[in-house]
Amino acid sequence: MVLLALGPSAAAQAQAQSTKQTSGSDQIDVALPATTTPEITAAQAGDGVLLAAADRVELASSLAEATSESGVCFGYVVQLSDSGVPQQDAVSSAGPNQRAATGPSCPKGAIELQVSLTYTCGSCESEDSASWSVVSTVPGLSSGTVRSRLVQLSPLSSGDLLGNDDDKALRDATAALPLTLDDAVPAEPAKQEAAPGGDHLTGKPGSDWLRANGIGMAVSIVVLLIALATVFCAWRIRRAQRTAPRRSANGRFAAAPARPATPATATSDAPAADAPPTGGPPSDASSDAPPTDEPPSSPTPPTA
Amino acid sequence: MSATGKSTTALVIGAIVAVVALVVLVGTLSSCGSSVKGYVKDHYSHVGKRNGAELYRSDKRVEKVVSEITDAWKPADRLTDPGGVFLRYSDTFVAVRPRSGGGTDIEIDDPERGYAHWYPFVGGWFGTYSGRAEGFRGGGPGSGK
Repeated sequence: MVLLALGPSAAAQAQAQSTKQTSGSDQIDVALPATTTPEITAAQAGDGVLLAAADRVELASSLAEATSESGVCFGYVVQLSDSGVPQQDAVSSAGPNQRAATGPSCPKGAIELQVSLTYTCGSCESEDSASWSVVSTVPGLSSGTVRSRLVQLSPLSSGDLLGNDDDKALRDATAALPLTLDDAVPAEPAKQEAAPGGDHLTGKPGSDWLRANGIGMAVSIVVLLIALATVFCAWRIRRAQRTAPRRSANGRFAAAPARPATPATATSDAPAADAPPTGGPPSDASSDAPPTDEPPSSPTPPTA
Repeated sequence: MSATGKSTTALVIGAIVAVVALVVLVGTLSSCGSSVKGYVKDHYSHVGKRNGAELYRSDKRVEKVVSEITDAWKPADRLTDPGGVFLRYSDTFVAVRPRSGGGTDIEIDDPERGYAHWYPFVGGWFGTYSGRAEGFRGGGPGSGK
C-alpha cells in the first residue's frame, strides 16, 4: 500500500477538516488526526476520474504546500458525464475529494480548475468531448488572467484531456495554478550532485534539433519536390506544344515557328507539295500544303 | 485559358513555390548545430552559476519565458510544479521558476545533475524514484502513464 504524508503546512489545514473517502458508491467520512501529522493513504483517497489515488494524494500535498506559502487555495474539479451516473472528482489544497473554496484556510481566495468531460458510447454518433475553465476569487487576479497564464504554462487542450496522458495533463495544469499568482513562490533545488538511492534518468530523448525542426524540414522537402515536379511537367508540356504542328482556325495545319532551311531544301527543285508541312516560311503558300495523306483543299469554293 | 497559358502559369507558380520551399529548407538547415542552451544564452541575461548550473534571468513572467523556450525548442519531457516548470532535452535540463519580487530564473544544467538538483520535484517523472510513492510515476520521455 502506498502511504503518503501531507507536509506540515497541509497538516495544519487538514486538522480543521475531514476528507471524504469514496469507495464504490458509498462515501465515508474520514476524520483526520488532530494532534499528529495526518497521513492520507492512497486507499483512503481513492481513484479519481482521471488521476490514480496516489497521484491525487501527492498533488494535494503539493497544493497544500503552495497554499501555506501564498494563502491562496488551489484545486481542480472534474465533472464526468457518460451513459451512467455523472461523477465528480475533486482535489485541492484541503486534500483529495475536497473542492478549493474560500474560507479561513484560504485567506487570499481560491483558484479552481474546472474540467467537464463527456464520454459517449462506442456506437454513438457523437464523440467524446472535454472543456475546461478557471475560476479565481483572488482579488486583483481575474479568471481570464489566470486562464491566459495557465495556457502558456501548461497547454491544456480538449485532446490532452481525452488522450492517453489525460492524467498528466490534468495534474500539470492543476500544479501550475500557483505559478499564475503575481507573487508565485519559486521551488528551491536540492544541493546534491547525484540523485539519492542510485536513482537516475531513464529513457533517451531523441535529437532536440529534429524535434524542433523535423516537421518543418519534412514539409519543406515535400513542397520542394512537388514544386519541382510541377515545373518539370509544365516545361515538358510547353516544349511539346512548341514542337507539335498547329492547326489554323480552318482546320489546316498552321506554320510552325521558322526553322532554318537546310541546304538541301534550299537548293531543291522539288515541288512544294513534297515539302514537309513545317518546313517553309509562313509567307510561302506552298508551306501551307497539308500532309500528303490529306486531300488538298482550295481556299476558294468552286464556282458553279 | 489556353493550354500554353496554363502551362506557363504552372511553370511560374511552381518555380515560386520551389524557391520559397528552398529558402525555408536552407533556413531550417542553417539552425543545425544550435540548441536550447544557445537559445537561452542568446535571449536571457547570464548572471552566473548556482550549484554548477548556468543561471540566466529575465524580467518576464515565468509563463512567458516557458512559452518562449518551448516554442523555440520542444522539450522531450516537461513537468509543471507549483514552484516551477522543468524541461528535459537530450543533453540539457532546464528549470524555469519565478523569482521572488518578479521576473524569472532559468537554470541550465546537464541532465543527470539537473535531475539530482530537482529530484524532489521531478523524481519519478523523468527517471527512477526510490523515494515515496515509487511505482506510480512516469519513467522518462515516451513512457506515458
